[in-house]
Amino acid sequence: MVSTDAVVFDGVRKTYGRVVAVERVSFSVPRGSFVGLIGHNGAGKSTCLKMLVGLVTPTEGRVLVDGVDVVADPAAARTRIGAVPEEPALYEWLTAREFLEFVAAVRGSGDVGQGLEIAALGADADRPIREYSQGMRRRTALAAAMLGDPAVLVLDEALNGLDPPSAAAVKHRLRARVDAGGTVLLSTHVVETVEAVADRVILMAHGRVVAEERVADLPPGGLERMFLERLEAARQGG
Amino acid sequence: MMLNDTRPGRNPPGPQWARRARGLRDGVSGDPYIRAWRTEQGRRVRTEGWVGLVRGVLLPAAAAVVLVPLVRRTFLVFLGAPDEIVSQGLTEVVFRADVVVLSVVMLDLYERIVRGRDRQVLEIWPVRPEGVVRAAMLASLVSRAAWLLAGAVVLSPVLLEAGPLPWLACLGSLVATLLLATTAGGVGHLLAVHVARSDRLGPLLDLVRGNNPRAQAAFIYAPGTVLLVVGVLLRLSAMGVGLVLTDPASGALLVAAPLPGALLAWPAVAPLAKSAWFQASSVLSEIDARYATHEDPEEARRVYLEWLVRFVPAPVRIYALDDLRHGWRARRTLIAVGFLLALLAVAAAWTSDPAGPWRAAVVAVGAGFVVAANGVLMDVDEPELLRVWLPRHPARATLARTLVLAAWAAPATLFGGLASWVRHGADGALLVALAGGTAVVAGSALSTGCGRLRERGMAVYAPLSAVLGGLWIVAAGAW
Repeated sequence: MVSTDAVVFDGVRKTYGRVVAVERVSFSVPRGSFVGLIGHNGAGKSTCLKMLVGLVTPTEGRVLVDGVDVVADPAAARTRIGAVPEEPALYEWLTAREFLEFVAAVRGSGDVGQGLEIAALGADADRPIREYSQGMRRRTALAAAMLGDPAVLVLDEALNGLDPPSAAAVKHRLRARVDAGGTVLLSTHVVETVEAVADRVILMAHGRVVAEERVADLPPGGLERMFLERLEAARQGG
Repeated sequence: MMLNDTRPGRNPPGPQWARRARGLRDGVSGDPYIRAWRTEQGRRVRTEGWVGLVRGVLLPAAAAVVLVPLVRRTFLVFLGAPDEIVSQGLTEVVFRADVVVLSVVMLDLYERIVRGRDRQVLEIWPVRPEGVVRAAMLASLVSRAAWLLAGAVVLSPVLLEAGPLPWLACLGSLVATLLLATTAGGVGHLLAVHVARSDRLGPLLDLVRGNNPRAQAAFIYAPGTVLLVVGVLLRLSAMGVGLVLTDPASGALLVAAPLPGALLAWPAVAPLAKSAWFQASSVLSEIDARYATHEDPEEARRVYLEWLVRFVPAPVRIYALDDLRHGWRARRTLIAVGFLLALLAVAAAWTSDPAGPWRAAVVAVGAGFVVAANGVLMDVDEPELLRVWLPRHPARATLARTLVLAAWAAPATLFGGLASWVRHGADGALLVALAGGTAVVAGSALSTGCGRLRERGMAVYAPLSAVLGGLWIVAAGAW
């Protein structure tokens, strides 16, 4: 039976020596959904996303992308993922056009013209990336992540550094992608972003999932209140 | 993207070797990893213009030319002696040069394959690991190829005084070593990823890791392990250089000894890359997290030689600890120079030449005065406010500073003396210990005194230490 979930975290635990970064995290992201992962700094969001992309190996449990175990088959898992890390690394001396061509060649597919449209760099697409502002770099990374239509987009604070028009355009693109059957997992600590675009929200605190809600079920502004209440409860609970 | 046009009639005619060469060229230029690297390199060169030309070509060329007389007097003193001596001398010099080439290539490949910018960019993409590693090896090979030209210039006294054949043999050995180092180095680093992840080898890594995370030990010892495995081939190649003077055919065969090793290592690259390249990211994240979340907070604050304070009298201890921590964190460069000078002292002493201990003593004296300059710099670092608010006990602080500087400056004397003792007996060791030891103490005391002058301290310390160092060297020579 083919799983309907694009992403599965199944009893995932990650420890570094005595430090527990993520504790028994289980959640799933259905195909064709936009899920926001929110939490305070150090809540374990980035560790979860790194495990999803295969940069960190879980101490216990397993992570599946589109049914593929990330640890067992890292190359196959990466073909199903388009990722934008918190600080995207790009080839500084390539132009955005060349970088997108490179990513398309690595993926074996992808429309570079469409990628450049997403990056919205205009004539700057033919300037070396090292001359770009933070926002331009992030848009290039986002465009590269979307090349070749990967099954899951994994975005770690991906809207940071974007000016309001660019952020709005990116949100619109992401939403359109989800409406067309794609899956997006966005990690952020900005609740307004999640409230504006996500279908579901997963709240993490101190390495655990403390809440999982449909955004539509929350009253306006309710996400921030829930975030603060659950965070306080998690803090009091140790 | 079309890597090879295999449609009938599309490939131009020509001999088979030419078609193969064209195929290889098209394959290389079509490989996305190599193409990205070449595009970046090309743009960097064009952007830097004449500045890049001066920095990348003219300065190294000028440095190579300047090095010629120094190398001739220091490392090639045997040229002009009977063939037997020249043969032995060339063997030793080329062997050391080969080891240096291997070490540098291993470091370069570590950055290109294991922990570097390429990994940061590529680790999230569905790359072909074997393609990434091959491109990294090619990039390393091309980047280091210019060194061969520099080597050819630096070794030109061999060409002029011993003839073209030994000179070509020297270059042949360096080329063969470069090829071996590139393939075996790549294999070594990829194997290190497996070793780092292996539970079975964990206890072995625990034995050698010191304060490092277990996985880091695998990477730290990878270059040494590769050298251990391929060292015989390097030695044979160096012996071949010596042999060409008397038996050119056999010598040439031996010079090429690293090449079969390179050919044997090459097929292992692709399977190892497939199994290890992606895994390296998670190994590195474990290492970084272990460093970041050190279990003992006090342990994380400890610095080089901090254990020494246990042997310092209690009233002086706090000042010594302060200096050790401040110096290591803020002024580590000169302390690291002390390590390099210690290596140089060992290299200078490790010879059958009776002048070895004297050379080691010269290095030890230099190390004593150079490393001790840290004292002046540390005084410049100290804010005036801190001096007023936290007054130091003058005698205790001075004693602590002198002890700390002496400890930092001592390795060259210690290891140079040890090497002299092993190779030349107690007399040689005594010379290094006396010359180096007194220089360390004098340099430390002088530096502590000059530190009082704050910003002007270095202007006094530098010439005074140069004069004193010169006198010390002359005295050691006379002795």
